[in-house]
Amino acid sequence: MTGIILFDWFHLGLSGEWVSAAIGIAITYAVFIMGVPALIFQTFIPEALRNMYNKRLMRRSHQIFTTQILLIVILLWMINPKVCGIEEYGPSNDFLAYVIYGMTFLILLIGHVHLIWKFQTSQHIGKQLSKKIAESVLSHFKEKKEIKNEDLEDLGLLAVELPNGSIKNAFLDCIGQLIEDILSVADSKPEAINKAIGDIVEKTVDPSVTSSIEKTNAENMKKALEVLSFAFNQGQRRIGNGEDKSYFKTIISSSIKEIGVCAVIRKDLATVMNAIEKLSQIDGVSRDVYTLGDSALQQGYMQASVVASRKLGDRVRKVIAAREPDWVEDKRVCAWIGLVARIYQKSGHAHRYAETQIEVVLEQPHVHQDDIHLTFKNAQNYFYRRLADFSTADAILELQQNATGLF
Amino acid sequence: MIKLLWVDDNLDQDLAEKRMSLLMEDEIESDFAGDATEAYFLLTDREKEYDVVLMDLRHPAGPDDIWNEYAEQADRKFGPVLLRMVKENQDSKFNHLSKTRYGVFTIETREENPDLFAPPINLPEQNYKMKTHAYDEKDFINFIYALYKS
Repeated sequence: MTGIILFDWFHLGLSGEWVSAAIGIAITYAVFIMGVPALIFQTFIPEALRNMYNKRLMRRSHQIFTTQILLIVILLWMINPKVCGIEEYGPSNDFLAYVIYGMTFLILLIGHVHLIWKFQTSQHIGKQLSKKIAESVLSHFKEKKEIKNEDLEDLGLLAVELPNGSIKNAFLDCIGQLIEDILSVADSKPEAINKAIGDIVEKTVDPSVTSSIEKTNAENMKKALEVLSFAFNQGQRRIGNGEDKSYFKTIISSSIKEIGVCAVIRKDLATVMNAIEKLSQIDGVSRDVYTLGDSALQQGYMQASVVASRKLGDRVRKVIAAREPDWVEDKRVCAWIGLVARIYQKSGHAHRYAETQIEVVLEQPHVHQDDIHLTFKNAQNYFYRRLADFSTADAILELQQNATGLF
Repeated sequence: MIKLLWVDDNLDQDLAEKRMSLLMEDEIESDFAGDATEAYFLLTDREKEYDVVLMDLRHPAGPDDIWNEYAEQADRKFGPVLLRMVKENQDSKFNHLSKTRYGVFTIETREENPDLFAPPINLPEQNYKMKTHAYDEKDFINFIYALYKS
């Protein structure tokens, strides 16, 4: 059919065999080089990532497509007998024949390479996109000392849309590396790093595991906690721990707490314990430790709650031993008393544990009964007036009234 | 009060009961690390002057790139790498740990790890304990107290 149509085109000056070959190449090109990858693209790439994929990785594809079209147009022009003069085979046409053969081969070769490249990109799209965006974030940060919103939004989208498991872990690894690279940018100010790390953590690490509690898994949570802990430790060393650097610390502690609370809901005790351990290594986040410990307690995880109270207790003991001014109204002390009081409400051995904790932590040579009374009163006020957490305020009152031998 | 750091990647699984026993001890203040990166950060924190550091021999490197150069030679055996690092830098980065006692708690035998008992680590023989199913929580806590007194 093709032949009949094409061979009737003699009046256009095209010989049948050459036109047939040229159209054949064009059809092969259209069907295989553009069609097959398009089909793969539709099948394997999640809808939410297609725009990002086009924007970030397909620029080269458009160049290839343009080159292919250009080569085909040149080929069609060259095979016109009126241009090239080939009417029949002869020794004088050898060179031109080689050129046409070479161009046909080049078109096919480019198509073949493109096809393989497209197969590969569609198979590891998450990893490639993460890497590409991370490179963009880093180069922009090196130049302008800030992160482009566009990059941050794309990373946030990847965090939510990438499938859980090894692909998400690879994404979190990439974020960990990005944080390390940003911290290594020598001429950047601490304020810029503080903002950049806080933004990355808030938009990527936290949502990657907390956006879909049912689907997330323990391995991803473990990896996210690892990245958060690393970001905190490295960040603190690089930019210090002053009040003006508190943004990244606040975001990181809040993210650890969120992951811990998700783990409580998913009944994943190991991750809850891990989150408490990581959180307790950050100074000044006693409220988050309390929240996590209390969430665990409400879900029946007494062990996790006990660990949280022990970690808070260790800090409180140091605060009191160091005779820090106004320790009786210190937030760390309030959070610790609140959690111990919540444990006390569970009755039985929980009573015994709570009473022992109060004794072990508060009974220091310079602490008087009046101080203990005042501490409990301040803790009640903290939960009542500052947080409107009436049930914890009631629990503290109950502990104060009923605990034997303490008051 | 004994300040303890325990480095092991099985704290949430096989060792969860021992970990809980430690946390219930009023005389022990415990920190835990699951990989070499985390352990390194805790060990280099000058505010945390640990009395006892208990180390598993094999655990993951964690996210820090500093472990890349050890990855092949260590074969996940970052415990000895960390111990060597601490002992070799007692005058600088780790001088706040000069009075710290070190212990090893592992599934491997002493014979497999002769380098632990030689310089620079010089681990006392009695500070090496094997993990066995028969080793209960009470004995484990006693081992920590023994390390503290060693």
